[in-house]
Amino acid sequence: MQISTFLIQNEAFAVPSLVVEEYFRPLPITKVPGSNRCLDGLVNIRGRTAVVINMRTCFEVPPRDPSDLGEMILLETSQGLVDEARELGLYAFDEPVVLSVDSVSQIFQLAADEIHPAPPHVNQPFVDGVIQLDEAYFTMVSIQKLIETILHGKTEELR
Amino acid sequence: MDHSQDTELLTEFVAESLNGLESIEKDLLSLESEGGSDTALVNRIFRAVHSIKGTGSYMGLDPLVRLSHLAETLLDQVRSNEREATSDVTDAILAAVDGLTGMLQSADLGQSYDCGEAVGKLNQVLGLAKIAPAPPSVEEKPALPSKSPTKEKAQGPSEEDHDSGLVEEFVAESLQNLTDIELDLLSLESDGGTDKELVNRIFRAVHTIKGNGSYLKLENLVGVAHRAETLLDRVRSGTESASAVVTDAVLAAVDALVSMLRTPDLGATFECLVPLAKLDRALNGSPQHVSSATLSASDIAQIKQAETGKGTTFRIDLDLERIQQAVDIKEGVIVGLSSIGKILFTSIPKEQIDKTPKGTCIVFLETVLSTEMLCDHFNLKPETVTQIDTKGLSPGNGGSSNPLATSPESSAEKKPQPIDSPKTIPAELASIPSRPGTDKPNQDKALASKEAAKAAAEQSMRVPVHILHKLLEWTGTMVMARNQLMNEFDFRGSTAFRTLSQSITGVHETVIETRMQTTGSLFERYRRIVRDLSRQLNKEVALHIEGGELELDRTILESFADPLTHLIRNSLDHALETPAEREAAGKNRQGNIFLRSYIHSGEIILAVEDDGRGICAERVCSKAVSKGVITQAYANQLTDHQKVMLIFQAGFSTKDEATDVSGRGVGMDVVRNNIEAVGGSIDVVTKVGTGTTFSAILPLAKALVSSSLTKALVVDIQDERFAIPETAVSEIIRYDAKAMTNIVQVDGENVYQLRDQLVALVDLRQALGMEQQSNRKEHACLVILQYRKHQFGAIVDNVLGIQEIIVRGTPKLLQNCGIFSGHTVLGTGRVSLILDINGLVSKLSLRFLDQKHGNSKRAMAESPDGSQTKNRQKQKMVVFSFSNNEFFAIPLELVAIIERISLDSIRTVGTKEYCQIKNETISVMRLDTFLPISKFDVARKDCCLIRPAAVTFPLGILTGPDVTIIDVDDSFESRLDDQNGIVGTFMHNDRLVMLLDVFSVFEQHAPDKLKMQEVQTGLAKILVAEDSLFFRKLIKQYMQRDEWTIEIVNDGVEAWEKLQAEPKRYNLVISDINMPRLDGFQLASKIREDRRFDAIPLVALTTLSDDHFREKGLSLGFDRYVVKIDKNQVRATVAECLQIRRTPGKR
Repeated sequence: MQISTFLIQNEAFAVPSLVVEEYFRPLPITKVPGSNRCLDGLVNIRGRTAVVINMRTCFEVPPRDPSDLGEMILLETSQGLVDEARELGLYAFDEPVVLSVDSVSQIFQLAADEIHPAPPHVNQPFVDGVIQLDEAYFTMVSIQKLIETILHGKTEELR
Repeated sequence: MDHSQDTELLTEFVAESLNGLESIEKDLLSLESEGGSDTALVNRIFRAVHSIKGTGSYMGLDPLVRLSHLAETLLDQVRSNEREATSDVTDAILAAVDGLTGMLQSADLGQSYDCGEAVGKLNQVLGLAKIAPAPPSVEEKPALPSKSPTKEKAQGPSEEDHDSGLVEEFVAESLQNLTDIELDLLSLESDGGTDKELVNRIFRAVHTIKGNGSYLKLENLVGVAHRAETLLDRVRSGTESASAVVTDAVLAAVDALVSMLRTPDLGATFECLVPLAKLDRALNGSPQHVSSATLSASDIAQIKQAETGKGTTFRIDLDLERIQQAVDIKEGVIVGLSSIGKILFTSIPKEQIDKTPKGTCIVFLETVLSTEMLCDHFNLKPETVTQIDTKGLSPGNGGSSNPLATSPESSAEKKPQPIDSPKTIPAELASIPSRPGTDKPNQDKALASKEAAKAAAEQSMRVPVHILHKLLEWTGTMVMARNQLMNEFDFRGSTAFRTLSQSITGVHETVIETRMQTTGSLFERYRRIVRDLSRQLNKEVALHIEGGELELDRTILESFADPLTHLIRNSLDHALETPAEREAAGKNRQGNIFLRSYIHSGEIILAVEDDGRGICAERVCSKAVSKGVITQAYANQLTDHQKVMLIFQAGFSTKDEATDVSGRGVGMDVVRNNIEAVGGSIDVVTKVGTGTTFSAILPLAKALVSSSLTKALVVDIQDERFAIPETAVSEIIRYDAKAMTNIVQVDGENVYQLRDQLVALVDLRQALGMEQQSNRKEHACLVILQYRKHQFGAIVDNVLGIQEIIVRGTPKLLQNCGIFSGHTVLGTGRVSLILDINGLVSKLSLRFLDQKHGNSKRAMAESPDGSQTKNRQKQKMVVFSFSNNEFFAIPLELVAIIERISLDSIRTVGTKEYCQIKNETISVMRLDTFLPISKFDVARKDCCLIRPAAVTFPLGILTGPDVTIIDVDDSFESRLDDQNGIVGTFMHNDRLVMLLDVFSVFEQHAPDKLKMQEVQTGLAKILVAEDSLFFRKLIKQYMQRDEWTIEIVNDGVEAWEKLQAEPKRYNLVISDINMPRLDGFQLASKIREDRRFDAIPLVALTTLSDDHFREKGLSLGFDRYVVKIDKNQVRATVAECLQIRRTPGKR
């Protein structure tokens, strides 16, 4: 399986490449008053409106310097998933979602058994497992948990 | 044909058939309501059933075909006037429609569906009740196709050298052709067979089938097709008219061909004697005579009567040409026949038979001879002679026993064999007897309806909804991109761009149009429910549909279908009384249900109204308490309306015993939930004994589906752009944020003084929780928003104007914000949120100051028990203090504006004080000047000036800074006699509040301005209708004059009763406009309709100062229209009116 990695405050995270539609430079965000604090707002990507999830807020990391806009990862929608992703049982939300990250990083190829369950001390709600590649560690982000938490307004879990 | 196509086809079939069934139902109901006389309607129903049967049999859905066949048979009898369209018939057909609908909606398309009830009903009506309820014959019939058409085609005649692809193609094409032929034939028949183009088309289609079939060497099939072609060719060339027999025969051929094409061997072994015989008969016979002869009930009676019981009765289809050549009957046909038996009946009068050289005559002959002997004797073809059992002969006994309409074979088989004989069914399937054009007057009508149906068929096609969704989505994106382009570049000179832009708009509008449906289409569905339920409940109910032309997106309309069904069932079951009860209550026997749809102040309203017994608030309330829905303490605080609204609470049902119709545990709470799920709300207005109106209310903004275009006001709040639906915006006001002009504090909240009303204020920055980054500009904008009947002001930083925006839904992740109804992309390419006014109101729990006196009165008029609530009528009062502990009140409707001023701005001129507000010099009035009260607390600089409404000169009452508006019961204590200037007192929050006699105070303040100049009028009796206690007192005071006798009544009804009792007593009538039961307008029209009161002048005394009310009042017969409060004017007007002589008849 191929994974796409990205950085949040120098920590490396990963999502399956099959659920990533594209990377892009930040677009102007429209804030949504009263929304979940993990959400930055809305962006217009070529006529489609996507909700921007701020990964720093989700992982309880202090915000970036306002001048640093980071990078954006547009995730596939459930309709847009390729068959391979479906077979692997990968999750995708049915509306466009963007992850706002510090920077996108490399893409790696790995076997499914290289993803290990998160060690007990990793106390983060949106983690599917960890990956060790050579000396580097990556945290596998559970997009499903992330989205469902926001969807059901369980903000207390975000603390 | 692969599996997916098959599924698609099935889906298509189901959708089409359900549509068809729906229209059948509608037609049936209108047929019934007009007494079953509309032949065009019957034909349409027949055709619709037939096409369901046809398609169903193509799909191999045997149970469905059986049921539709029975229905078709029955309809055919109606169509051919053999049977009247009685309610039993309609019932049976409706049952069939239900059965078919049920089947189509079942997972296996009715293969295992139990339609015993419908079949039973149909059979009963058809007189076939003794035969097994679901004739199983079709399954047993070997020649009929097996279940799946797909398989058969795969097994096509591969022993032939043709490749199976070719065969498949042929089958598919031919089936399509046959469907077309069938439809064309039916149209041909209904227009009387005059349409040459139709005949040509049918001919060509049959010819194609014959040609292709003969290429594939399908002899049996070609045989049938050839004869049909020959017959059609005659019609085409005019040698034969398109009579019932011809159509019948061709339809039989079509059915046979369809059946053949669906057999594995493509009909090589198919038994097609019946259609062939029919075709032959049509080819050989002379249809002109046949078509004019039918066995009517009296004919049959005649036959039965004439029957002697000696020997056997035969039906002989005499070929006149042939029989006249027969040697044995040179003496004449009739004489010849008479010699061997008794002639019971002839289709052509006996004396004319010998003069008719050609054609067919049907003869019923009772004879002791056998069939063979008969044939030998007269040289008859055996197939033209049928043995008949007259006992089974009746006009309505199925197509097969109609001796004219069926071939001899089927009739012959009919008798000895029950319906499940292998051959009877194909015969029945093939027999579509018909008699077109027998009814001249109906022909044009039939033609017209046919044209309409044809046009409709050509204009509509079914498209899966998801494709429409996608199309709309893309179009929306296109519009937004276009707007962005226009924002970025200057295309003004480009014609191409203009064309592109217009096209995009056009595409968008068209796509939206495809999704719109009228509310009428939804409403029409309820006719059936109302009809069935009213019969079931033994109630007489008429359904009235109003405003059915309102268009809504289909998906949204559909979401109202279930709630409305529930409400209608509820009205029928609970609300409407039985005819006896209604008569006892002095109502019309027939109850009424009104279905209405209309748009009112930015909301779509779908209302179900009945004139039934109404809902008793107290009963609902006590029920709710006993069921534990609410506590007694809580119940005591509720208004009547709130009590009635309790029916929408979960677990509530007022009828003690659950009936079959409603009250099955599914309550009104489900209705409410369903409506709220789409963003709407529900309301109920009821009056005991009079009726109930349920209204499902949906804001216009919520009625827009994603990607539709709407107009919105784009505003700027903290440098973010927000869109507000234009339907919610009533006006925009530029105002000075620092000076807070026209802003007053009421109950500690900011309220804006908008002309003569106060509106609540919402600072959207705060409401949206946007941090105060920049200071508000001096000139902010106030957007006055409309929410239901209320208005409130929203403060925004700037208004950027009204734009057309594409509405997109709220992303799911943002849905719990609750204050946005969606988003759009503006020309800048930025996403912009659309504010949801309803959401905003509920989120901020905004309270509205119900300004208009009329509101409370209207609420009371609508409350279920007028007399009871009378005492508890609320009146809005403006309460203020002058010094610290003394409180005064003025009715809100007497207040025009409350100005916030500083004491410093008051100038003293002589003994008088004035204040300059907006270039107007206002006389300031201190209450302590006239009333024995404490002095004004001069330490306070801020104060308010209450300016009374409808006073002709600028005047203001100086008050303390706190001005509030409260609801007061009308039951204040009167102190009229002991203190001038105070009308009464009441307690509010443990404080004594004095109700000012405004006019008396004003008069004292400026006696010169308000001095009365009395006109002599002489003795007069004046009738006053006024419901407010306060005004009753005020008017009484105003009118104090020795020569005037004042009689005051509570409302229009009482006034009318008084007038009726003593028509000559009164010289003048003064009436308020807003009154319960009968308002001033209604009273005026009633008085003016009665010639006895021609001479009585009418004066309207009201607080409704709007011009259109004035105009309405004057047009309805008021002679004068006076706004309350100005005592001088009131007295002068009354005096003037008493002087004048009314011109009788003038309005």
